[in-house]
Amino acid sequence: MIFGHFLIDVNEANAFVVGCEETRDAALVDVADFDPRIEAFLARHELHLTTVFITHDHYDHTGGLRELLAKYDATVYSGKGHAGGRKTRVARHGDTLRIGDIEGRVVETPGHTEEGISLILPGMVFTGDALFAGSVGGTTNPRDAQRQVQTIREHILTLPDDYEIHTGHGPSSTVRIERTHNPFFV
Amino acid sequence: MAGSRPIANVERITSADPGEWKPGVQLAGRNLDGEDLAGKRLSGANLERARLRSANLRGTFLDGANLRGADLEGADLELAVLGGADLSGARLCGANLKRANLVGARGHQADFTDADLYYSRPGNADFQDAVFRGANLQRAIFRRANLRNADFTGAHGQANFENANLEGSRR
Repeated sequence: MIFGHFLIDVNEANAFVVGCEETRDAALVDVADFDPRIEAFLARHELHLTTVFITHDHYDHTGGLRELLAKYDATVYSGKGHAGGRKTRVARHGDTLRIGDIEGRVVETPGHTEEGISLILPGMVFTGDALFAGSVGGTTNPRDAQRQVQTIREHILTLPDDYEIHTGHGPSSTVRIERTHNPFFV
Repeated sequence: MAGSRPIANVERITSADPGEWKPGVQLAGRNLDGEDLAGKRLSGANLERARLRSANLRGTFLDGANLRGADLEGADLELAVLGGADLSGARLCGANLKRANLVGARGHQADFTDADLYYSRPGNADFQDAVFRGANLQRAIFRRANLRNADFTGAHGQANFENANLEGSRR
């Protein structure tokens, strides 16, 4: 797997590229801005961007969609079927998503937003703003906060300890770190 | 831009042969000054008393690593994952720890003098008796951290100390 982590200027959001070494197909997870480094990364690794996975429909995760789709014929997936003012395919809990030979699984992680989804790939998971290193995403009411913690416990913290967690902002983490030390779970 | 250098903040090919640089590697006491270990997975590595001055550890996974007494002066640890690592007695003077994951790290008497901890995540960390003199703490999140007797003299920036233990600490 070819992995790239990009820190984007827009609200210090993260974007990630995951590429299949065999087929050279690639996915982009969130796109706050169409940073030219992403284009250069795809070109340098001879990757074809086939998929865009939007974790939730906030501007700092979707702002670069329009420019990106003007250059790449990629299929966009989101939790509610539209993101950044555009229609997308709907990715539902339990859906399988393929990036070349890499098989991913979609899990729901609502709370920060109603439609929040995470993508589990072999050895890593992308959580958007549902889960951060040592924290969780902001919510607007206690019910959503409780739901967020519950779904993270159920779908993310049950993954193997050494799985990497790649978040919408800030540093990455691991399942072991968050399960053992995140103040919202211990 | 780039050439053969990574152009992402963190870049990795997971199938690549890690060679010596792999999880759990024994590097205690080694001189790794200036070494480029960016983006590598060194989870659980033993780096006790290792020299890592000005090493490139950008985005490196050092979770659960033993860094007791290590010398990380001037090291680049931006976006590094140090959650659950043991930094007790380590020297991190002038280190770049921007956006570093320090969740649940332990660092009794660790020295962060003049380090840049911008937007770092030391939640639930145990930094009792640690030194943060002159450090940049802007947006650092010390939620529920143990900072008893820590020295923040001359430290600057707005940090989150929600439910942190600051008993006996100095500002």
